[in-house]
Amino acid sequence: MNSFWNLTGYEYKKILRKKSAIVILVLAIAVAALCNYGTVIGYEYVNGQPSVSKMQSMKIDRAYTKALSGRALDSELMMETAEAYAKVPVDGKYTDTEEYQTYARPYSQIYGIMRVVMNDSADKFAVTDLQDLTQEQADSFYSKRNEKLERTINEMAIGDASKEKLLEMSEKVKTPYVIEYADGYTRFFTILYTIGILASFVTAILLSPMFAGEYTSGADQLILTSKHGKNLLIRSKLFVAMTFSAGLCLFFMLMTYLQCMLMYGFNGANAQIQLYLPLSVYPLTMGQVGIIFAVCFLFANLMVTALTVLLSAKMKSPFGVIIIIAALIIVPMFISSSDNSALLNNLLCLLPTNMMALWNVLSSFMFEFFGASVEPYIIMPIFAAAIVSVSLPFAYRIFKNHQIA
Amino acid sequence: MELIVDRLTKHYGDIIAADRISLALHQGVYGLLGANGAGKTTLMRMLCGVLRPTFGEIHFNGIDVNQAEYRDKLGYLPQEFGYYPEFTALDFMLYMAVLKGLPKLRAIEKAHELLALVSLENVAKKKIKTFSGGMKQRLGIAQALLNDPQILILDEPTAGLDPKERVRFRNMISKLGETRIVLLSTHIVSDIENIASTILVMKNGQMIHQGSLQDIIRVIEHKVWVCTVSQAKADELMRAYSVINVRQDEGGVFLRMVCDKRPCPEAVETSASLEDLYLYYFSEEKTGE
Repeated sequence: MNSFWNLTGYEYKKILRKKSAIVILVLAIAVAALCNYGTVIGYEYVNGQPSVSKMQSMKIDRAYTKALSGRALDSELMMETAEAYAKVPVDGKYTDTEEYQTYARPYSQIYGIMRVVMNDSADKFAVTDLQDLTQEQADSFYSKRNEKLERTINEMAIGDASKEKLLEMSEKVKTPYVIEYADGYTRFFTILYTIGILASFVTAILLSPMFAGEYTSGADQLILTSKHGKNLLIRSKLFVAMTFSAGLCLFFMLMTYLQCMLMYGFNGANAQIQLYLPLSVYPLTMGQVGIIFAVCFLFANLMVTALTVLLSAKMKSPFGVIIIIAALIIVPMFISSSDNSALLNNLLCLLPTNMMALWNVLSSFMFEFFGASVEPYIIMPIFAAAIVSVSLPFAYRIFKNHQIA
Repeated sequence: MELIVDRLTKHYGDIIAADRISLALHQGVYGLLGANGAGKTTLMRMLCGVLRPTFGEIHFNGIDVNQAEYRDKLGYLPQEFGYYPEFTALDFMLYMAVLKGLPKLRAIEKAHELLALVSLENVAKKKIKTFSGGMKQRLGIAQALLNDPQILILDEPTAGLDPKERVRFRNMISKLGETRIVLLSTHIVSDIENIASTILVMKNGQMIHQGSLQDIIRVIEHKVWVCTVSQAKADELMRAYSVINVRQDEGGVFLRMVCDKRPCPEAVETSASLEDLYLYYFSEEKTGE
């Protein structure tokens, strides 16, 4: 066991002693930091002129939403929002007006939620529609939401069991929504996709030489003729790959989480996800979604890592490994899923990049097995774990049986 | 102590790199001789368990080549070995020691001892990427000895060493051969001539000779000739026979040749050396693998 930990230490040294590895890690951390801070750098422009800084603007919005926190998104609040927006002249860019800043902006989050529910495919819910909002429309907000969801679900190419389950879940969603400030979480959900892709690239670059580097350098001959070279060392390499990747992911996740929370505030863990995704059927809080998302994110990265080490054991050069993994990460970004095929949606959801996107994690396309429907966020980690548990023994065998010809 | 090689064969498609090689090696230094492409490296790799034979078996004291126990008794210096440029020489030795299953304290002690043996102790904490070719080679030799191996396989170990180091290393191998099996492959015939108790000669994947230096060179006994002739005659002789040495002398061109009968009236028979044998067998082999 002692040898295992010693070898593990040396494998970590092999990765981290390279200057290129340090440069890549520093660059990745800088990019991750910029992803978050980038949104509050610069100024808001009103009539082409800089007004307040984006940081100040974020603080203003935060104060407005906090002022509404704890209030139910009911007819009263919707009518209040409509009244505030009615004071805004809508010719030109209405958000630049003094009236918007004074009366309507405090209710901008409410409008944001209402718009998603009230929008029809043929008719957008514009500011003028909000200004003309009737009591009847406000009263029917949640029934409209339910109708819209029901219609969407029934039109989806999924089985009856899935439709039933989605509608059951939707019924459990607490209405009226209770307003809460949760920008820290919503920002975290948005950025984590980019951070996930970044982490996957960093993992692929740093771990691609895990086995392939030994082949190209010729160290494989020394390793494979040593006592522990065909057993303990390979286990140690696989352990290092998985722990390094998990550590890197957790670091990036924690960094992103803390950045978001420190900047936007730690509030919102108990807010319902519908404040961010008004039409989501999942009766979950932001905190619960955060945990689910983090698990999917972690497993997606572990899957990329396992595939990286498998390719590294199989291929003769780290560059080939990087190219294939890069394609695996990038290509899914350009494939749009079709609402007409549940199977295609399900399959695309299982690609690592898609596992790191919240819209897939909380997708309505359930996985159907023998009449049962399972949520994507349950299948994603299971699938990733299966890929990991298949890939690692293969990588082990390939390196163990590697022939120096 | 016995390393048994039984009908060892390796095919690469239609090419036979090793053809039914059978050997029984006991303690001592074995010099493996052959032209490039003769199958020396293939044989060594199979003996190290990094190349699976198409057919045949390898056992050391009854332990199969594929067992960790076999590797525990093995020290190997490949022709070209990989290192980690960012590691220091000491790091590399300690890493190899862990791979070879040495306990930590023993590893530290042995690493320092071997670095001193190959004159690298004063650069033990320098990164390997700063080392010259000869220094890297010495480091490779040191790592091969870490586990005090009972089977030591050295593929071109003296390549890149300066003459002084080569002689020192040669003496070291000779000493190591007293208590273990050392299989040494080199193109430097004098290295083998000086230290190998048994010489193995490979050609086209086959072991064509094995025995002591005296046994081996018996093949060309009474076939080595020297003479000093004119340039025109020398050109004629060089076309007709395996010429081992050509030198411009005051009286003409000095030639050393291997041939079955006296090549010219001026030729005088001389005692055979291993180099003569090597050139006799491999003069028509192409160089470069």
